[in-house]
Amino acid sequence: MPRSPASDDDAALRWDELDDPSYSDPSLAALAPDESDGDVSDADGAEQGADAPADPARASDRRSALVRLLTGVFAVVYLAYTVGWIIGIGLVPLSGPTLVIEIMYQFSEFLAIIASALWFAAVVALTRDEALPRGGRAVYRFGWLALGMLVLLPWPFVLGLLR
Amino acid sequence: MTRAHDGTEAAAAPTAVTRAHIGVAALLSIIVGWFVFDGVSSLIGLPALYEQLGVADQVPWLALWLGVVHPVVFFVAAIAVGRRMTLTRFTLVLIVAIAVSAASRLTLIAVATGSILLV
Repeated sequence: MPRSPASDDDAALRWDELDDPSYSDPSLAALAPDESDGDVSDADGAEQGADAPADPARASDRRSALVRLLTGVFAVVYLAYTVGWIIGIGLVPLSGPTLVIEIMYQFSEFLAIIASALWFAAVVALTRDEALPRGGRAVYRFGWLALGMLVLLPWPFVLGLLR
Repeated sequence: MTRAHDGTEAAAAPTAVTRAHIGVAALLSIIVGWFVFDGVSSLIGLPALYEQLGVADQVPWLALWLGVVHPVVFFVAAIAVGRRMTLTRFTLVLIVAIAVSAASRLTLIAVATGSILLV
């Protein structure tokens, strides 16, 4: 059941949509046995209650770190693609018969060079939304980044190497 | 996710297609039009060139037709993906599609002409 938006000014700052399967209710987490912090005294109820919600937070931190790491790996690949396009364009001899067409050729070559960086930046920027499901954000991001790796492979460079 | 009523998620919320969206798409479609024009020029000119060279049977028809079609496909796909986004994001998606079209065009030229000079 969605939380009532009435009289809740901090609604946009929290992730607590109860219908979301990735949402872990802190009140339920507090009821679960604390497996990681065995040294916490049972007598100190307040301390235990404060530590219990930290488990989902730690899991979230690990997931965020993994997402950042994978994003970094993709960034390196896309950087390599950009270099591949810069070299590949030099391997495709193109010249326009008129000045206008030559300008358009140069412009399209410039677009091809920045295409990989643009794709990466756009995917990262557009998959930051809170509107996407928390778990789904990573799926969207890496799905689109993987698709870009297929679409933007610098074939002129690759074909040049193969020959 | 519950929508906030204070506007903090305005950028993420789906938006309606506005006249500005249509205007940006129309403006950027000029570049797509040039890619299509270039593809049609190659579709007409390259077979004639191959015929002059005596290799008319080696015309890369698939690459030539893809050169005509792919800019439109990418642009329409980008419109479909970004139509519910804000104007800024919609524009970004269309620009990415145009850049991808430019890269794909060079790939098709490299494949079709086979004029890769390894330096």
